[in-house]
Amino acid sequence: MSDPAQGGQARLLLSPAPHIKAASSTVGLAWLVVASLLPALAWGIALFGIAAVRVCAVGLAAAVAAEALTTVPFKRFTLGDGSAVLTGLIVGMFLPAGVSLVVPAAASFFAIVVVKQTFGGLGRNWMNPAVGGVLFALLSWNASMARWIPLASGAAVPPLDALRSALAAGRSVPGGPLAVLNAAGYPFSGADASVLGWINGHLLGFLHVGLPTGAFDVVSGMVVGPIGAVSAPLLLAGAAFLLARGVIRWEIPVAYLAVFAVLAFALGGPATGRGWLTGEALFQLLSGTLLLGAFFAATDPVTSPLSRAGRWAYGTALGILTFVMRYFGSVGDGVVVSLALGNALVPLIDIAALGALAPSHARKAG
Amino acid sequence: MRTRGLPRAGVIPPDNSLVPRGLAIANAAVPSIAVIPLLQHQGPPALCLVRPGDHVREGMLIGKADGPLSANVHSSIPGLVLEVPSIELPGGTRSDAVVIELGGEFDRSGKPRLTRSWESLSRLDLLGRIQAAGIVGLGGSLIPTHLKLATAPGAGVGLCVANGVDSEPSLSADDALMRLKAVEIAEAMRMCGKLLVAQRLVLAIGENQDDLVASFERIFREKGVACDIVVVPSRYPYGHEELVMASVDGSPAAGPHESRGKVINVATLHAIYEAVALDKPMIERVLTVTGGAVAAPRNLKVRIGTLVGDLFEECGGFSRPPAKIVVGGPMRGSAVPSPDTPVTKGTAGVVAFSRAEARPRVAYPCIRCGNCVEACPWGLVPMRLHKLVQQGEADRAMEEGLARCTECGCCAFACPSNIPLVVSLREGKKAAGRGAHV
Amino acid sequence: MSANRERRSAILVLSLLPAAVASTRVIDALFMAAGVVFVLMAMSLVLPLARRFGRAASEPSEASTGETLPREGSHAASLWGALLLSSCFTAIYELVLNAVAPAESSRLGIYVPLIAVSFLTMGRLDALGVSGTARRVAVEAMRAGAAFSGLLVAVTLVREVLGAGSITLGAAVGRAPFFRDPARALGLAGGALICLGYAAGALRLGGRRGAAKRKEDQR
Repeated sequence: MSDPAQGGQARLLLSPAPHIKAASSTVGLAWLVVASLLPALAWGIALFGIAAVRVCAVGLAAAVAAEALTTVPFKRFTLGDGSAVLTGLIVGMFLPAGVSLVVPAAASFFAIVVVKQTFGGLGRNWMNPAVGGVLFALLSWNASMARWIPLASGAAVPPLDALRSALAAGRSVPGGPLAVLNAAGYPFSGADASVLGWINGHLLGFLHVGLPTGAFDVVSGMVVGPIGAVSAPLLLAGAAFLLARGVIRWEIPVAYLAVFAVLAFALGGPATGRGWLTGEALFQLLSGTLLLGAFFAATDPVTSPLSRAGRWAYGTALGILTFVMRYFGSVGDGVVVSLALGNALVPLIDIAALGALAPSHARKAG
Repeated sequence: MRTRGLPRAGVIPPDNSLVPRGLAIANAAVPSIAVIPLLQHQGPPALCLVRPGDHVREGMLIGKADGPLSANVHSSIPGLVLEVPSIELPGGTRSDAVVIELGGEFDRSGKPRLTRSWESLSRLDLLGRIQAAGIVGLGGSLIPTHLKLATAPGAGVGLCVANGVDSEPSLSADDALMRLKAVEIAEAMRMCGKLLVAQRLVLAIGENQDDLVASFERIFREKGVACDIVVVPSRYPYGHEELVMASVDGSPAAGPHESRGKVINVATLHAIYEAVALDKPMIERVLTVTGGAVAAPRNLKVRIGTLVGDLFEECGGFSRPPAKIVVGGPMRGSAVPSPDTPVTKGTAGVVAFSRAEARPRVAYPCIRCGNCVEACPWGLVPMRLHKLVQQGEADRAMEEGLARCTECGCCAFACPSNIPLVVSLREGKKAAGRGAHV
Repeated sequence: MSANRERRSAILVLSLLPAAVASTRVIDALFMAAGVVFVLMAMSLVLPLARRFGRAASEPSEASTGETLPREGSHAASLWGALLLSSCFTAIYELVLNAVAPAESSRLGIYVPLIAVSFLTMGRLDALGVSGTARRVAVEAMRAGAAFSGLLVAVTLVREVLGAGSITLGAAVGRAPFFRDPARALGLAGGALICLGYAAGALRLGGRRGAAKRKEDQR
């Protein structure tokens, strides 16, 4: 507040240097991430209907309620920074549409109260709250977490589960997972048939290569899966938006996905009874919660390393862990488990990376 | 002419210099009241030689250097000493200041300038003149220049760099000085080269001052000065001594408290020239008056002791009510409670922020984004140092590199949570029993 | 909190760890608590007597055997002796449990013998040191046992209600009807640690509030 100044009788602000700031702000960050998730969420709701709306709404409401419960009685009002809304949204998007509503409620509650607030609130949690909540849900309601809602086309079997059982049973089926699914009778959409028919006929025909049936469905997101994780294009668009705005950094998702893809390609074959270097990398990248986890959960600044080198290491570790968990693990969602484990590794990574970067002080100047 | 980049230097602040490039330096009006602090340098305050009621002349010695790192203080206007009160300087330190009311005739201004030849002077004589004129490092170090330029007989310094890069964003006083007084600066470089027995002279300028290269090359040729010109990349803290040095000779910055050569600011060089060739003590300097609240921002040549409020009047007054007035630059300057603060030798700029530019900022919790780590030019981890200081472990913070912090402000600039990192780190340095100066 | 109080609560929490992990039903907790209390009480009664006997016995042995229990090592020696005693009592409890509730005994498995070396047993001994009248020792043991039991049963109650939707007390199995779909993660070891963490936090909070209140009263 100041009077129009003629020689300065105004009350001047006395704040410390620096007096100019970079544009980014913590408050805006969480809301930006929320905005970038909305397209993928809308797609999921369009595919899975009212059930998806209920799950996400409950997750969101529980997160907000939990945050309010743990801050308002202590006279702190933190709902404006958007992090509770973001956590509730991500929890909802990780879950299948058919879960009983206890699951998103309990997962969100656990995420906010136990993982975030008990450890000190924003910035002090060592595990991504949404990841913690979803992991809690996975361990507590194992069966419920596999209640996928069928699509209009009748597809009811989730891609990854079908893949594992079919690959185990039908090793003799040549080709990748899509061929296996086809042989197992998984119904792909009509759009898939027509688009692929056109591509295979006109574009790739002279190369004598053909995209397998179902490729279009998988890429465009017409598959069964977690609410927010099915549409690869929309997730990538949201991620591109965040990368362009500088909200997230590219080192973690690129390292994560690259390492995972290489491992899936090179070692995925032997893991499912086929030869080396026959693993299916693209399919694995597009299925399940990998893209959602890599771009939106692994990049959470609070639980990721501080230095660039550290981030490369973290992404690599996550890639390796996800490969192991997906091919050899028994918990429903390998990505979530590996994210939780990766979060636990971050302090170690920080010490290692920053120890190398910080100036060494053999002389203690006095 | 080469441009060298440093992998870890600083941040890129928005380029909103409001002063049109190339605009001539205007002379500010002589103040009717000058408040001249006796502490305008690193060391102990100068000893006051005058009393209220004394008459002083322009350029007269009113404060004698008293102790190591102390410097002489001169009166910038002729007149009557009214009082010697204790005032608070920007940044919080207190100092006695001589308040002079204008009166009587000028000895210098308006009189013809007499240039004295200096080539025949010995090094000791040169240093003596520089010391007598009370010249200190005007790029921010405020260390008496004669100490910096003194070398043991027989020893030489490898490199002498003239630093023409403005130390803060939005300030362009050094740039304007280089355009206006190129010849004098070149001459001063010769003097320093002789004093330091330098093997190599370099002029460092910023990326956005490319057009100066041609004119300086011409002047160096005419004067027979063998001097290289190096272009320094424009990342804040661009004008910092060590980073400039690293840009010039290519080796990574070893920290602010070591030096492989001498870096001297061009404003200091100009003052050296005036002291040696014109026998003129430090009584005025060029600074930038800028900010969103100022009607016509520009560079001014100002008498030491002028009140900051008068400077704004020279620039057309306030176009908007000022919300914050900062003495210094936007990254490192100190906010002052009123415009009745005097200009000192170290004042490179005055910024009046409008309300839109200077809103009070709320601090959020640290989200460990790592921006501060990427921003720090010295490779420190400000987030961790801040946490240690907050927990009362300042000594441990020192072990982890707090001593190398130059309070440049890059970390706080980059922090999305508005955490006052510089304040915290400064307190940490004090708490660990060591006050650091750049 | 005073250092002693903090130390005691730290010992308490640490000793609860294995017991809490093992007890997924309330009945488990009750049996584990009973075991610990029994061993503690027995130790507290027998140990001072044994110590007195040992002291009396060590003086004349100088001449007979040519070696005395060294003064510095007397504490260590008494610790070995105490360990022996606690193993004996634990074995007694295990056998009794086997006879009374064999299903429970096999369910708790190795955790019952582990009572012998549980932190609580060892911690209490260390805290009591080599001095203390039998009565004081007994009172301390009772207090520790009560705290242990209370916390263990409370944590296990939460775990079972939220994690399995039931409350099991012996043959009578009560089911909490409103939990159709309980959070089974709490039945895992991790869930035990989470509940234990909150219990420890509550303990510390209570301790701090108590200390603050005591300070208030003193003023």
